[in-house]
Amino acid sequence: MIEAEVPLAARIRLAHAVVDALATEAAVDLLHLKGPAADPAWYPPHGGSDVDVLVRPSHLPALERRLLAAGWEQRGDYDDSSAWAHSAAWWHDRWGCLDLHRSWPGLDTDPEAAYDALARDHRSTLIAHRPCPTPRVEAEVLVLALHEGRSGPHRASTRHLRETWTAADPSLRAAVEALAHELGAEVGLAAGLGRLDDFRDHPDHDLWAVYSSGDANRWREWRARLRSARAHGVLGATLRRALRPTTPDGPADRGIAAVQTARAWHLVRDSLRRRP
Amino acid sequence: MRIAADVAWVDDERAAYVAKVPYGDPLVLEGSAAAVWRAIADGCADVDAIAARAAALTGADLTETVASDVRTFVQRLVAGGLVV
Repeated sequence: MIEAEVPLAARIRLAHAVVDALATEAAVDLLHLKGPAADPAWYPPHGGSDVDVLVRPSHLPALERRLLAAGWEQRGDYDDSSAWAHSAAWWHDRWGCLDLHRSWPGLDTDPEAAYDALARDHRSTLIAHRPCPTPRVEAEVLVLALHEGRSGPHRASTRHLRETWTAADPSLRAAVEALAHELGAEVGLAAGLGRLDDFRDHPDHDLWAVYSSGDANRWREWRARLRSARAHGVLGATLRRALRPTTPDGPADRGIAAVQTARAWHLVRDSLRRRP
Repeated sequence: MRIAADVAWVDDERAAYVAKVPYGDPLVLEGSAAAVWRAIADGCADVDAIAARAAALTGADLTETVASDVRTFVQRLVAGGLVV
């Protein structure tokens, strides 16, 4: 027996099992998503680099405490993860990166209710020979479609999902669409399936258009975020995020942060001028 | 004899990667060590059966020396809580 370097694919599977065991110890509900947790029929295996779990929001503090006690370190803030402030990155020197989700981008409903809906009738999937909770098929397809919808248009996994969707049983597609309706996720689902034009007038259209097109223009992204935030009544919080520099460490970073802040302020003024 | 319930493991055919979760270090089992692990995973319940299966998996002759080495290794797995 030797302690040696574990290949990434094996390490990710073991890390899923480690996080699941910590959650079990802490009586925390979670779902394993993507990567080895996903049904390969919908999400073919490819070179992922981290572990994705969705935690019942009310259980998040308990899991965070358990992770800290087990040597994990939080490396990112929820507010920095995306327009949805959905996840935080954690790191362990032995197990690598964990993407800890308190919500899933694109679900426009109370996060606790969204968790209940995704976890309803959940399955158990063996990961590293440990049974881990994973969503039932229609919830998994919705989760994967929302993920692809904000991941740019040219990924092999996006093409695979759309092809699988087209060939899927109509009753399954109807179940996914019904769940998307229940969770206010119709626009994100459409983005993942390549039919975002069906929602051209929706206030979230521009946001999903930015992410699903792979357009890295931060200016366009923030304009879309503000339009969406105004429609959802969270404009104030989004403006505060726009004004907050993200990398104020060294002198060069402080310069970048100053530029970011100036740009954000222009966005704020523009938004206020356009406010109905 | 079986793999402990709190053990996670991955076999990629080059090696078996094994850890007690959530607090154990990962171990890499290669060659004959991986063969022993696979024999246990296949359901071999005692040392003689494990040795025979491991010998078959590796193409080795099942000599007394091989059986003794397997017995020693299995004892280490049990002592480490990986096998019960």
